[in-house]
Amino acid sequence: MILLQRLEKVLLAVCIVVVVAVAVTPLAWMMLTSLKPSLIAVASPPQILFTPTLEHYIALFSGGDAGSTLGLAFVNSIVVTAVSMLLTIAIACPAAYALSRLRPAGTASLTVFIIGVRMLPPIVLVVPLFRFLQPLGLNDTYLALLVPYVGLSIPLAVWMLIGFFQNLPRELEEAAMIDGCGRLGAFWHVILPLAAPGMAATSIFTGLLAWNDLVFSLPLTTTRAVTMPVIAARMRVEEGVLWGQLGAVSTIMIVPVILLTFFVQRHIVSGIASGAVKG
Amino acid sequence: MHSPTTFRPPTAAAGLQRLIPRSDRSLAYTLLAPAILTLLVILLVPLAYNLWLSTYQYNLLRPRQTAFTGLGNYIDILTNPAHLNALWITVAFTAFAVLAQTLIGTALALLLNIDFPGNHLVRTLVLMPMLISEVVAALSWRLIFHTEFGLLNALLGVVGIGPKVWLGEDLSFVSVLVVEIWQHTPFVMLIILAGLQTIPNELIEASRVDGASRWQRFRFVVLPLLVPIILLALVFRTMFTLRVFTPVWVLTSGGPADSTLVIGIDIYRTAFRYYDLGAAAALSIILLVVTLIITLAYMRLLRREALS
Repeated sequence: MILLQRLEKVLLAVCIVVVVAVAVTPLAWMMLTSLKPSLIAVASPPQILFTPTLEHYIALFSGGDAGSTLGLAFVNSIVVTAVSMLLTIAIACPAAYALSRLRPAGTASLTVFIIGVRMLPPIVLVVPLFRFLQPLGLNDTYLALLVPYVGLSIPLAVWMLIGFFQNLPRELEEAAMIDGCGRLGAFWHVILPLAAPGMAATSIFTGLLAWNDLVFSLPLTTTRAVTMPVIAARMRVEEGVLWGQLGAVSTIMIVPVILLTFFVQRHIVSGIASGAVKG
Repeated sequence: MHSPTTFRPPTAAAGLQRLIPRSDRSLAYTLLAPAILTLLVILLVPLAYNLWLSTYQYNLLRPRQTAFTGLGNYIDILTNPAHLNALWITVAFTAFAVLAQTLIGTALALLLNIDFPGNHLVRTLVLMPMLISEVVAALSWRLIFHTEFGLLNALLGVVGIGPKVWLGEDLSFVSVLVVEIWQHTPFVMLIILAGLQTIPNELIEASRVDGASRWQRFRFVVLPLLVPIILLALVFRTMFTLRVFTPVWVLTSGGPADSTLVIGIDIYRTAFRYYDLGAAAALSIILLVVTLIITLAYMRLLRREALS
């Protein structure tokens, strides 16, 4: 019996190691490649031992055509992500509050409408946006990206925030109102600070949508407003020399995400879960 | 902004009801207005334009020949083997991906629901694929799949299997599928894990006391309670896989020989390589309709499940 239990433990450990290895290896390998000298990056069979180098990162950012584009793309990605996060949260928070607390007539159908537009495949919007923005000279600008990002993030944000708002005890808000706060005052002074972790998790998810997107950035930007995913997707090179640089671009794109994930891990899980399970 | 009615002192429990005064209704609609308006302008206006565009013969290369064709674009698409092939590939891709994600995701959720040291770290690491950019995920896998210096062929070489061309015509569909499954299984796992945590412990304890084996506990206690949540994960994954674009674009761009040409890629190609905006709009509407039909079918199933 003890032997059986021990065997079970070993089996569990093996399963977990395999699962983690499969989940992490492709990313770790890419990051490792970014540190390999050019020749080793394309060695066959693949090398694990090597003297790490930052040459690819330096090459990426030290002038040259590719270098200046990457710097621009990096700034563009940050600006577009930050602005779309802020706009989304500013629009979604009041809506989620109204739907979860004030519940006016028609709440159910409004909720279905807001969340239902998530069913709309983003690529359906690409051609119309391209046609609308072109005559206005707005293709290849921040606006071309912000419009769809905010539009598509709102449903997700409202959905997650409703879950967070519903979890806050109603009594706190009522107490604040009895103490003389108006409805908006209670929302501002009581609800928002309490919901801050949830709002942070929501912002991260809406930010990821902008930071990672290729569906809009590929057709709607060309040079001035290109973002990191466009640059990475364009580096489709079979000559091994550039795999190191590709690794470097990829690493720059995922390191912030990995750091944030560890930072707000708990809230991410509860964020998705609360919306999903309470529906 | 302070409405005078909110200052009325509450009398009893009934007084609480009065704390939600009539003026709140207009406040509620005011708070909702920005979101609703944004969605109408940003999402529904383009959708309406798309619908309108799809009834026109409209090619940016031949603007003079623009003309109303009614359902012409739709008939062209549904009789054109290349587009039909794209539809078929999309449906097959979605079916395989969602099935695998559900099975693996459920297994992973059960595994990570076990309490073991380092559980939280493992959960975070397993979630990683779904949080990173689809572009980076696909690029990482290109490196793994590389015929000459890829990790996969090297590992297979160790066990004596010769190198394969993973992104060639024969294997490209499977390879892209693997990347899709790898990246989005964690989402299914996450939702099911959350569902598992809502199952009351007493229920499982009770069945244990009644002498149910581990498999019986899963089959007759846990699984029935999980079904609605698994269905929910299925709805989401189906919706999102039908519109797949990025991993396919980065891995194969729909090739070789159209072996991975999903609708998402087909729309992009029709619009921005052939500049046939009318046909691209019609393809978009077809994608939307397919998504709606499948989602609504699931919803009905979900509701029936909830009722029973």
